[in-house]
Amino acid sequence: MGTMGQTLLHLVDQRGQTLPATIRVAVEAAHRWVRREYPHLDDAVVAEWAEDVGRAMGAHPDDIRSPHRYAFAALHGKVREWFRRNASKEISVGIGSELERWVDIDLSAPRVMHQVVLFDQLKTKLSERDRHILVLLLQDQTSPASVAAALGLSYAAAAKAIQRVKERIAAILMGEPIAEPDQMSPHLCESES
Amino acid sequence: MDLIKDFFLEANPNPERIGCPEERTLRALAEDRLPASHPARLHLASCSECFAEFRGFRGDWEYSRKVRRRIIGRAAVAASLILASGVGGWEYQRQRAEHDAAVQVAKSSVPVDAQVDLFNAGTLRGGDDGTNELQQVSLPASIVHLSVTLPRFSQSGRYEVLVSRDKAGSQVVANGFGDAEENSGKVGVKVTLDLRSAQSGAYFLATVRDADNGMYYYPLRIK
Repeated sequence: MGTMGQTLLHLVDQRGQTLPATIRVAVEAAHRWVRREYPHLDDAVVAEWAEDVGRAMGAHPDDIRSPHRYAFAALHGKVREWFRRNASKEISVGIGSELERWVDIDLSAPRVMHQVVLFDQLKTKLSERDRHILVLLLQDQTSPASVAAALGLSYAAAAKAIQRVKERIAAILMGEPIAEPDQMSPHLCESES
Repeated sequence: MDLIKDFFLEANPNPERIGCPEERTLRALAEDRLPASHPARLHLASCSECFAEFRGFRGDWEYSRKVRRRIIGRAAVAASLILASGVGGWEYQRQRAEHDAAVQVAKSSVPVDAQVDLFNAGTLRGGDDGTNELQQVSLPASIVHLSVTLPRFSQSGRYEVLVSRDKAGSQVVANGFGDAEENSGKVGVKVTLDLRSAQSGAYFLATVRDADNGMYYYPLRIK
């Protein structure tokens, strides 16, 4: 059993036997990461995915060279799959609380489309060096000195490069034709069930 | 920054894990144990899988740091409380000792009445090696209102009474002046001696008459 907040994972193989410690630790780490990275996902759903991943890993433990990598890749794949599946899902719902329950799923379609377009733009409009700078910033290597050391630049050039990346990101976001999903009013396509 | 994070999580799939660093390298990156110039840092910009693993390690590390800081904070509070109580206890003991000392001083500051009767005592002038027969000359180490009955044939007048460590009167511990008066055939003088600084032990009680400056001494014990 593993814990993350109040979620307990029932990590057993297909025969109901407790999984090896290496697999349990790997699945629990991946589960914690998904909970942190995607806090809006349903806890129970994520826990079920994690247990599925654990069960699958338990079926062929000797074939897995790195349980940690396997667990992260598998659980991340399930998250991606969920986003893809729900982005194109049409749901017929009633009104009131049932409608509100589905709002998040309905909004995920424009969100995913928005992300796809935006990510394409980031890929094409940002140079490799820009992406390197961004990934360094995400590693908390935020000072020009750190960026300069990582990219082999002078301090002044690194400071200028950081500033330019920020300006490019801002320009991409400002020029984005699709509004942020959070700012959109949900025009839900509703049909009586 | 969440959008950029999602970009790196999604936009660079590398399922074959080509060129990926080892897990321990990613963990070391996440725990800030590698320099900014380590090449694995830039690899994260082109591999969503590694970026995801990095984020996982990073989150766990930050959480453990937070927990460790909380534990250290609580330990520091506990240590502070222990230290404060220790200092408080020490301070209490110190104040209590000071208070006891003050009480002791206060007690010794209360004047004590004492009488010394030298009427029948033989007297020797200073410089003689002999000692005078004197009984019950024992004074406390405090302020003493001393009433001295001077030896037979003493004359009235102004006297100095002093307590000294030596017969010559060069190591005077306390002294006082008084006018000797005759009463019922005996001449007495009253003086106040501050003996609070005197250590217990053997001393000499000396009387000096102003008129002839003659010193007479008697053995004395301070308790």
